[in-house]
Amino acid sequence: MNMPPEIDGCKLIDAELDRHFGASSGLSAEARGKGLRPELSRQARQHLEECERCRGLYEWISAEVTAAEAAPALYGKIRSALQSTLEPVSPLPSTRALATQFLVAFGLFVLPVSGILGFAGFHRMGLVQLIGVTVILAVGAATLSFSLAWQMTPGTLRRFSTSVAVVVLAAGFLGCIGILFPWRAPKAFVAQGWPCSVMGASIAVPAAALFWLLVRRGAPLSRETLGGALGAIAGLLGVTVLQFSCSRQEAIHLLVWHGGVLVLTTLTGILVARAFKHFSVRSW
Amino acid sequence: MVRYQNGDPDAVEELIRRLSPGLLRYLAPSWLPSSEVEDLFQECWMRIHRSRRTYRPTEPVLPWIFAIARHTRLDGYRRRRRREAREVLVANPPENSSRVPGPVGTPPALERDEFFRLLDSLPESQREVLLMLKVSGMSLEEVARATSSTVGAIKQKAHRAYEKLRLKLKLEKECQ
Repeated sequence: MNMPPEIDGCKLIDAELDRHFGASSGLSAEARGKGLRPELSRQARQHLEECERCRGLYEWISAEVTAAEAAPALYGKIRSALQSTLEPVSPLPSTRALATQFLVAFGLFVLPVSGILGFAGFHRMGLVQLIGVTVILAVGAATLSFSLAWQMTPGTLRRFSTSVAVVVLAAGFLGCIGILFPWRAPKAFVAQGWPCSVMGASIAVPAAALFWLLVRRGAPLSRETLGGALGAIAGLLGVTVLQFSCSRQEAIHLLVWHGGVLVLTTLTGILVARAFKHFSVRSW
Repeated sequence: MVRYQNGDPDAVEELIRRLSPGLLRYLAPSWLPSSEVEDLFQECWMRIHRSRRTYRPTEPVLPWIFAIARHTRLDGYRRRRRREAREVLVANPPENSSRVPGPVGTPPALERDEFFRLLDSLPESQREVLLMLKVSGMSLEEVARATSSTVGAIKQKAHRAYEKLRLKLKLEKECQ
């Protein structure tokens, strides 16, 4: 077994333990728990002979672990509790299917609300602006939909974290607006701006409730992450409606009064989740 | 697990028998009193039961189970901290007080052998990773799934734990 030359000494042992615990090790869970000694390469064995520290670690890691057993009465109690409410259940659909449901809900919410508020912003934007903004909003909606879908199922392998998704989305929105839209000073910046934020936040509230209804079919574990993701996708929905309906398409207005909705709803989602966590005992 | 989802009562028994030892080890740091371990253990099984429809038959079962166990333990820890913060200190606590002041001098929930004594001396995030890898027999990817993390981050935590263990083992040997 050849190890890369730059990995030597104690790091070689770490790397070999990684291999032992890696998915490709081929060892069964029981074998690993029962103190099966990790197989080592010739170089690693040689290092073990020379290094007392690594020898101690290797002995510790190879130790057989005594099984933990609870009182049989406790097992019986749990068994009866589970069996008394045992009914057939159908598993949740795949992550992709769940994410698609979130995206469809997003689209079905945006279209009628935009229809009511009008498409003034859509007509004001140039082709490049329209494509740029639509791509950013669509990618954001898809990313947050996957994030929510992953959270519904415990133990799912996540390709990216929710916080990274929200930060990248915010940076993408900032960059897109900053580059594609004109930086001229708008008239009555505050007077014409704050109604947009109020409108965006008002749209986000029922949207968050809709997404919550979809999410609660699963078992989200981290309330703060869930709150942040729900706030972000609801805020993004509000921003999307504003983008297509607002006639003021200047960069500074879009960044402060439209982008502000996304920030506000994400933070509100996290705070509400924290409050729930603080005042409740059960996780879900 | 699929039989359990289909409502087979025998599957409940088999699942409890096969998964409980690993879950117990995971939920019980050696300084936690037995009564609290049992409460956590029962609560964990109830949560598993309530969320059984979220398990997908194509996915590995251990990360799903341990992700739920992990949050049961975190919630238990938060509840405990809140309860302890509310408690009033008395000059002479009763001898059979259930309050546990800390890791030292408390009754062990499970037998404390050498392995777990050292494991419990590690920081919580490192202890958790080694416990899942070594005791529960999960792979690096499964631990990453259970902790909503990445394989790289799990390796990093494991390496830090190895380094701490090397130091502790060496120090103990020198003391002997």
